[in-house]
Amino acid sequence: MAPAPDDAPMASLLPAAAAAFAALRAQFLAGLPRRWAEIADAADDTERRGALHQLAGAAGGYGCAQLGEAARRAEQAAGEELVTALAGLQRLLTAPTATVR
Amino acid sequence: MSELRRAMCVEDDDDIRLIIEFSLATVGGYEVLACASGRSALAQVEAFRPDLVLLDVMMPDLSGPQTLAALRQLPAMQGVPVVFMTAKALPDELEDLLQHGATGVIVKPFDPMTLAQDIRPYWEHGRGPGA
Repeated sequence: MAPAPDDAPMASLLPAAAAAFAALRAQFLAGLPRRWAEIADAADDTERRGALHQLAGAAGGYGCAQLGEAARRAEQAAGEELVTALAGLQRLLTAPTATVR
Repeated sequence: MSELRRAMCVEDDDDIRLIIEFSLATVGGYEVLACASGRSALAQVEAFRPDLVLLDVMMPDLSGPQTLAALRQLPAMQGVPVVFMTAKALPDELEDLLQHGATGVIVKPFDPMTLAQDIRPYWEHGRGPGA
């Protein structure tokens, strides 16, 4: 079905936009080890929760639902649960970027 | 009939703001002003004169609802659709946000490739007198 007239300019932009978004996403994925360092080296709970909150939001925006959920879980965890959640998150953040979902 | 040309987004999270800006400018082709805080938005909105505003709900200093209340005091913002963006998706929470006078609510995470299209209904149906 042909796009409605109002959709035409947007539709013509989509292939280029998809490529541009893929580049943005690749940049995000390449920065994951740095994000893990920010979380691991956080000075206190507040700073760590802030880094986890930002990671969870960004992961969702870039379509990495599994990573976003892991970050959100760690943001909300405490005690032993936090240790487990951070270990799981570390595995995701230091994995090859092609495997991050 | 006027067109949706200028969109303002207000989002304190750098990553999300970048994605929204990408969606609206690169995918949608809109002229975009991206602000990191409600205060920054209030300082720039009258010069930019957006056709629609996307507004994060949870922000430090001025929250989304507080920013919306301040925007509505400005003559230039009468009738301009304002759409909240939030990760909270419970029906009661969404209804509460609409009670603040928002035109609509978009739930995060959103699809960056469709956001520009998703806001159009709010602009088409949400404009008030004088917009």
